[in-house]
Amino acid sequence: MSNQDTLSVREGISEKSDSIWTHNVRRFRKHTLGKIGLTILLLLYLSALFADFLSPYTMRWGDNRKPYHSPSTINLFYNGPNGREFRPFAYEYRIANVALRTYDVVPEHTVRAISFENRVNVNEMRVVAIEPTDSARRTTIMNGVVRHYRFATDSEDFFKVQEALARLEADPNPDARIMLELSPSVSSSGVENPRSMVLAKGNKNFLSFFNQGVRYQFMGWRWATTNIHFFGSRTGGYFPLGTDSTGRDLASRLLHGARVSLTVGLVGAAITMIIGLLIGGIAGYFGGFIDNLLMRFSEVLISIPSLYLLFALRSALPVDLDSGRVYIIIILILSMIGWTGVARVIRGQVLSIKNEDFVLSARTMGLGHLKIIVRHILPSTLSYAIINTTLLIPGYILGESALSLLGLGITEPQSSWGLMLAVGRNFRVVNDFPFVLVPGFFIFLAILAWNFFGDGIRDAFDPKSKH
Amino acid sequence: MTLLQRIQGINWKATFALDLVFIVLMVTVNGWALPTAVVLSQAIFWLLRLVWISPTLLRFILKRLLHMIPILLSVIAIGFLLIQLAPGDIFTQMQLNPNIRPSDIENFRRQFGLDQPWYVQFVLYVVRAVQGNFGFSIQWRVPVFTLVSMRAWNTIMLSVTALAFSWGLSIPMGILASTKQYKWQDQTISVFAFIGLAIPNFFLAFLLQFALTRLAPGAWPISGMRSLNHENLSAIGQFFDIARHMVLPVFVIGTSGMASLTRIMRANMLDILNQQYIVTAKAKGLSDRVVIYKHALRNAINPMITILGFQIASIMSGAALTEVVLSWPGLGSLILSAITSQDLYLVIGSLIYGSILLVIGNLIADILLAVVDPRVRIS
Repeated sequence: MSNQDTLSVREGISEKSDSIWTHNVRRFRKHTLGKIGLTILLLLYLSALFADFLSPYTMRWGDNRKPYHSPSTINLFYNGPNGREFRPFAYEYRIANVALRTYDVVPEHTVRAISFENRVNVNEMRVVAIEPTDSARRTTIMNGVVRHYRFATDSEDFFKVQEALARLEADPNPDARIMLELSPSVSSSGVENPRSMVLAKGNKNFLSFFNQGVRYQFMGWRWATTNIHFFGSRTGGYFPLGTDSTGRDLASRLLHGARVSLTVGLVGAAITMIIGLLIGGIAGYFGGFIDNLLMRFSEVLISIPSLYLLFALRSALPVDLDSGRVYIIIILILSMIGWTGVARVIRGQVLSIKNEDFVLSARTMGLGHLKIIVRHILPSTLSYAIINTTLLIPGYILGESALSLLGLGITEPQSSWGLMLAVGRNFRVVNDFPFVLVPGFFIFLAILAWNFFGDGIRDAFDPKSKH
Repeated sequence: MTLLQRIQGINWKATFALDLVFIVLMVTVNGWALPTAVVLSQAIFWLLRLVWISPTLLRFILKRLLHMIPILLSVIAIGFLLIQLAPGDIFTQMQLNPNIRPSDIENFRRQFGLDQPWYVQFVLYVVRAVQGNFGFSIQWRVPVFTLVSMRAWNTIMLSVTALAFSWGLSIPMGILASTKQYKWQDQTISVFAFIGLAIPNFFLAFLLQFALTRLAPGAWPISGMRSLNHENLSAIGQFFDIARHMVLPVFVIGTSGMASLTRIMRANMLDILNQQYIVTAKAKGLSDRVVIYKHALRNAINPMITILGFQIASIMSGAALTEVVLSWPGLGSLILSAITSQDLYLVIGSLIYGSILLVIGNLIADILLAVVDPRVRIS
């Protein structure tokens, strides 16, 4: 052991000094609220990532016979033929008053036919026929099924359904289910699509994990087509947060909407930061005419109330764009408005840094201006950039939801939290169906979590904070 | 003499008497709601007084107003550019109507100057605006200036009341939180502050509307600015009618700013309370009340006034969204409808008016800071 090492060991100095990152992370770990925020954010973003899998249906799935269905209550215990057992279920409801959208529980001795096609983007898993009275059962169900699938009354499928219905009637179990494979339908281009359906007796929708439901493409990958959902019912009728005016499941739309609402903030803040860093860096580094021009321009943008500018910018672009473009446009508009504040602060910092020795030495070594700005000057403003990005995000989430709320942002059939809340502008709907406001709580939660996290990041990363 | 000393030398009785006359005049002549008249008369009188107090200030104000001209020109240019980028114009809808001849539409376009390239329109607009003609709203069929100034008063009324509400509540709350640091009062206030910070304005509006329709249906107005029978009410009745309608939007807009204000006020007070002169004051045997309100508060208020400038911008944006959601007939809802119908001159008129309000608000904040803090020099 050399002399130097003994010295440092004696004085309690570790051999390797901490990097600034480990130091910051250690400081962040002491910030309780910051950690709570981070946990909530991780949960929210993970559930947005796995939205397809976690949602009981898909974003576009809807049953127009169930508008404003209230959130389902889950009953844990089932009194079946085997006595009382743990088997969660939700009751099947049927609309009682179409004008008021009131629902009644379906009677116990009911038979339902539920379409269950194995295709993506087909509005399957809907009740196509339902009949409570014993005497009318057979005809109503057969009529409904024939009308839905357009069988010929002498086709093989027709007899298959008839036979299955007879089997179901004979079954002593009051909650029996039969899954039927039907012959594939042939489209005009000659593609065969497999079809199936479920016949169910009773008024209960049994819930299970890894349930087979509506078919979807996981993450949009064609090879990952599956119908396994995290939690739900094989026979449909389970809506954790209720349905909207066209009978689409709010929970599924909430989860898919999270993808838009949560990423707009993240991407938007990152782009704003890049624009702000570059413009602030250029303005501060070159000074003179360029500085003057850029700062006057930012002054003009600052002196228009930001929401007015947001409206005006959005109106300059066509309304009927596809969802992907609208998403990009929203991000660009938000960044267009947001960069001014960042650029001004960065400019101030660059002004104080640009005469430091390390910049001068870079210049004497013959580096280009842009390289000096990006490689040498901007890294010094990194901690400010990181702090500010996290603090910008809540405002961007709000901006997106405000635009979508007013019909200027994401449009149907896509989903975002702001768009889902647009129905709240009609207070009669809110009064009758308060569950439509649930997305608002998620916006609140996301912004709260980002604020907590941002506070933690600021306390940990800000070299001036006292800790 | 500092500005503050000069102000303290003012004959207050005389000025308040003059104020009263001014308010009465405004209400009788214009029939505006009382708070607007109060605020406006106060603003004008303060300006007059300050001009009398200090010629430096007059020069400062004039300089700032001159500085506004290029900014407003750029705002007009941005408005023209954005409208030009938007596909079609306000007459595009009309072209689909078989009852309107295409030649008529061409005439309309010529009449409103829409057949010219945007820079020609821009120059023509600026020339006319200097003469006091801000164009004609095609959608509403009235001069833009009339419409926009009417709506702008509603926005000012709302924003100023919301500002007063949020400041009036958040400063005492900040003081309470700092004097009871880490006690339950402080904890409660910071929880509310975090909630207020995170809850979106429109969502709070929906929640309050829902609560009001559920708890007291019909008892309190939940949207709009006037009742149906507003025209039949007496002047005082009309004032209270608007005041009742204002409660909900003011609460919604006010709470969003309150959260950050309370937190900043608390931090300021805590900074000041640790200073040595506070310790000295306490050691002298002064009561807590005197120490807090006389020694600490006055110094803690100063940084708040700097924030007022930023607050005005955020309050105006918050007000725009709340106006749309609660159907308050203000500038925000006007600009939204103007933009969706591509009513060119109305869009630009509201953009200009919005930025004038913002710039003047910032100017007032700067002047206030100079008045309150003798260390700040205006030049």
